[in-house]
Amino acid sequence: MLNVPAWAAIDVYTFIVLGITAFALITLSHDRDWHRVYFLGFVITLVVLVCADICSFAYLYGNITISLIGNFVYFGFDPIALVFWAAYASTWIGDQTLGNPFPKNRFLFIFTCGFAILNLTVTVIGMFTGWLFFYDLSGSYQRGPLFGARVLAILFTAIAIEIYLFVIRKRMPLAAYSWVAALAILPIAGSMLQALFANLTFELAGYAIGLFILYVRVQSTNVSVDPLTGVNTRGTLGVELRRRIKHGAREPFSAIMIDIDEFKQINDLYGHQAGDRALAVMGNVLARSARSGDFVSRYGGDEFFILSDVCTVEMLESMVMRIRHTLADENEHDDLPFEMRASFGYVIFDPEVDKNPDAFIARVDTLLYEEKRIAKSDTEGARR
Amino acid sequence: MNYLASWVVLDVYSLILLGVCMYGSLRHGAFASDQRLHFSMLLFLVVILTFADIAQRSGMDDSNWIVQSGRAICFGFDGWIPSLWLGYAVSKMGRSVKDREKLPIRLWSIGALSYSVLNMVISIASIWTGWVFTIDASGAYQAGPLFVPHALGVLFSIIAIEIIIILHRKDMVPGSFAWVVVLPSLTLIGGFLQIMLGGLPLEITGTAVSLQLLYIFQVNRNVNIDFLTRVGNRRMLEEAFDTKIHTAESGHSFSALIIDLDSFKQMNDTYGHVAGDRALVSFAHVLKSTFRARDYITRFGGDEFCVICDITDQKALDDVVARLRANLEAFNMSETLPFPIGMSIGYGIYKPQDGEDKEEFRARIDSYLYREKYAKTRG
Repeated sequence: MLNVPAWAAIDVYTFIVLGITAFALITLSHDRDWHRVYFLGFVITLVVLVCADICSFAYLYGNITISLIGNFVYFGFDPIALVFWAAYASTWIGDQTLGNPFPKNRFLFIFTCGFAILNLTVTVIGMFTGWLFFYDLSGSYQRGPLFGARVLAILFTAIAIEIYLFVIRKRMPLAAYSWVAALAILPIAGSMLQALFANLTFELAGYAIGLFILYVRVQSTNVSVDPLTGVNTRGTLGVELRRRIKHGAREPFSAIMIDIDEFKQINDLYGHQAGDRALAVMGNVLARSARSGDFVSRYGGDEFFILSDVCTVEMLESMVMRIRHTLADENEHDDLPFEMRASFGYVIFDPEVDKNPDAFIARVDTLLYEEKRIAKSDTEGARR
Repeated sequence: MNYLASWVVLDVYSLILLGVCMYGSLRHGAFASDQRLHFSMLLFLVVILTFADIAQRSGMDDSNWIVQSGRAICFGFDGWIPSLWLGYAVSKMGRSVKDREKLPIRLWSIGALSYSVLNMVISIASIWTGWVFTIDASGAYQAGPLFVPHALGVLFSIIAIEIIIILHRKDMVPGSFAWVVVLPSLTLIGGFLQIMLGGLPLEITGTAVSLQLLYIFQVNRNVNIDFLTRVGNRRMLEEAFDTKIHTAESGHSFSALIIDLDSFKQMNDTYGHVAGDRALVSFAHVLKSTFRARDYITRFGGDEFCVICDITDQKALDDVVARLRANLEAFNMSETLPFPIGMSIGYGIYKPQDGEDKEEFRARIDSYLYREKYAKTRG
């Protein structure tokens, strides 16, 4: 009967948990955005580190070379996990549509890359000087004099990242910030446990669980972007609206509800493909006309919703004008066989009147309905 | 340096993993209620088993009641794993309760439940009768005469469940067979490894890992599923079309139906969004009871549905459409909603031999749909 040592139990389990998360990201996740790319990079880096860690125990079975390689990879490339964490966090800073292709905010990324390079240099030199680890006369693995200093350096780097994220948290969606920030807790706790139990790689286990939690959280927010139009989905609208209403007294906001005129006729006359294109065009127009802090989403079949920090009627109306102009522009230059027209209902959030998301939406809806009714009777009047 | 036993590592790790799965499944909107049931039962069971395992290995005196209970629970409850996996597999078979009451499935279910109950009774009784395990004169744990049958019982019952799943693979909802068949095998592999690797709690580990996979499977299915009606969404439709057109090249064609609800916008305006949503959900049920589990039922627009099925004969297709109209009529007569639901259907068989491609086929059925709609408006 084989006796399985604890270090093998923990590393193999970590490998399996990471492997399943990686499998889910690679084969099942259909989103093609930068969140996913960096997340996947993060997971794969950890898989490599676990394999390296398993190799590092080869000295127990007499093979020092493999053990050396394993330790080198582990010590040298461990901070790359931090690099991917920073990159992933950066994709949530600022403008949200489909994630930043290459984050405009690169400070974290550069900072962690710098640290990773420094660490790698120290590791390489340490291979010859025994700074971080060495094998004694009996072939046993021993920690070197700078081992503790390195652990502290990584800890401080992680804390520095946390502080930076905390400072700029307002530029990230609240939900994304909390989870990205929380991600470091488990590996840090794991590292500290590792001090108590020498050979057991709790740090990687912490990462594995942390990444699975992040995956759970990211996936259950689910398709937050509508693939057809590129704007947010209705589900995310609910979350965002509740959030804004909660802070509505301190941070005023307004909403615009947009409805494509005669959408059903477009579908019937020109077919579903044309209808889809109309939706995509509308999504595009709205995303372009909205300002960077605004939240644009679909609301229903042919309806859209914008939440904005604008808090005066004048500014709101000029925003609507801007959308109308962009739409008119679009009509002139595109190759759609029909003209796109829209109706708007807009209102500023009033904490006295709008007690919950449904009430607020109903109020905007009524205004939209009013405008459609007026527009219809106008055109009918014009026809007469 | 401190020492940590491998079994502690495995059990604690399993508990944490199970905890994350539990958190994930409780998140509002993550799972639909039908998915949550089996997942929750399995989760609950494995968590109990893990605590019981920790109790029995805790190193206290073997005759201590905590250790004895832990042991009894470990032996007694792992026999429920096969039954729960069977229950999960059955939930993926057939679209309606009628399908699930087919005789063989009832037999398997009764068989599995009988085994689970028998195993549980025998294991718990062992505290007094010593069948599966016992305490000898010196107070140490000893395997009883039924120990080996117990172990074999769990393993063979999972193998039996796997065979049943494979036999019923054609009855499963598209895309679920691979998952349903793989997941119980992880418990099986864990069980074998447990025997070979000195009794480490690997059966529990295997089941915990399978629940992590199950969680991922369910969450990802949600990407392809319309949240309101629980049928497929546009993504599933596109994938279904691509798959079916691909197989059509090797000779098995298919048919598609596009169904549009009449006057839906007016219904929404008159009766409100809530009533409109209920109409959509009810209509989805009518579709599910008309078509088979293997057919792709999807909702791809506000009030538009598309069904893809394996019918290649025009008469059979006409019959199915007639049945759908009859089912909708029956639903309307039941007056569950304050208004009747009307529908227009465009349907046809995919004919690659006529040189049709995906776009032409869809345009063709679209045109049939519009024909019916205009026939209605005209008169």
